[in-house]
Amino acid sequence: MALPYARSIAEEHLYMRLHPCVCGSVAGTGIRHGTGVIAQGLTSDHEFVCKGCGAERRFVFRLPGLTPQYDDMYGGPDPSQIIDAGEWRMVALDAMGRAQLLRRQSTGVRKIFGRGDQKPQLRRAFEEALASYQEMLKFIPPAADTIPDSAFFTENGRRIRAQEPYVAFERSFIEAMIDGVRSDLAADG
Amino acid sequence: MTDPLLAGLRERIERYRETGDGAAVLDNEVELELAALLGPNEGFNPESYYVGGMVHWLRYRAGSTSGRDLTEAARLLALVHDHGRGYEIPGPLRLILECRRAG
Repeated sequence: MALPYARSIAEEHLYMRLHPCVCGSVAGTGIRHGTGVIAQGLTSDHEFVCKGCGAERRFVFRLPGLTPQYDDMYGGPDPSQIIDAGEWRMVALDAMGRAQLLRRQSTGVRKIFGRGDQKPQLRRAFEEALASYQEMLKFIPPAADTIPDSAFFTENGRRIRAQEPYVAFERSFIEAMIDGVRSDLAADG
Repeated sequence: MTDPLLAGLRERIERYRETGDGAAVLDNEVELELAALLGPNEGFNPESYYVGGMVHWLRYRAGSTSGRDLTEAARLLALVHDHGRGYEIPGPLRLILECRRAG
């Protein structure tokens, strides 16, 4: 069974966010979700209509046999099988960008016009960035210093690796980013 | 991630060709694999469309009771025929597609 293996519901949803419709939209309406049983575990089946173009969209995943309890946001100690190291880098950068925007919105002129308390969203963005950097680390074998080629198993991920500086995929850099995000969480989150 | 999915479906195609065992392409999990491959509607990818089209075609040939297999095979392989390069389209479908182009 070669169905995409999702470690958690959060990973399923992130995968769908990373795979937009041909029209560019990720949003859907009329969402239907079902689960099933197959020889190698459970399946999770999402069907919806694309908000952008009205196309029918469907994502099917294989799930762990039992509902796992993870400390991490997206999965346990093993690396993702459906989101590669380059894509995690992109998710981390996106979350950090969102955090910077929210931080600016919570100060200065926008605060005067009252955008409400954005701290929960800010915290969420930092947590997503932190989890994404941690996911990148999971691809690095214990004795290695950098993410191996095999961890870039999607076209998207390989494109991101080619665009980003090589150091972005080294253990020391990723660990430094994790420390930085933890500091941000402690200060602002 | 489509690579393991594509590899799994290619393996089914090979198994059917080598053994003639319809179960290779007809079992219930194949439908889920096809949905996972093409359901996200991410746009034309010749390899995905070819493998998906071939599995639908072989399901039709193996006696699938779903009328959808032939129409899906024709839809997907027509796009591969028109926009892909170097893909071997099954003879009967290729003939129809070439007649359509000529006509």
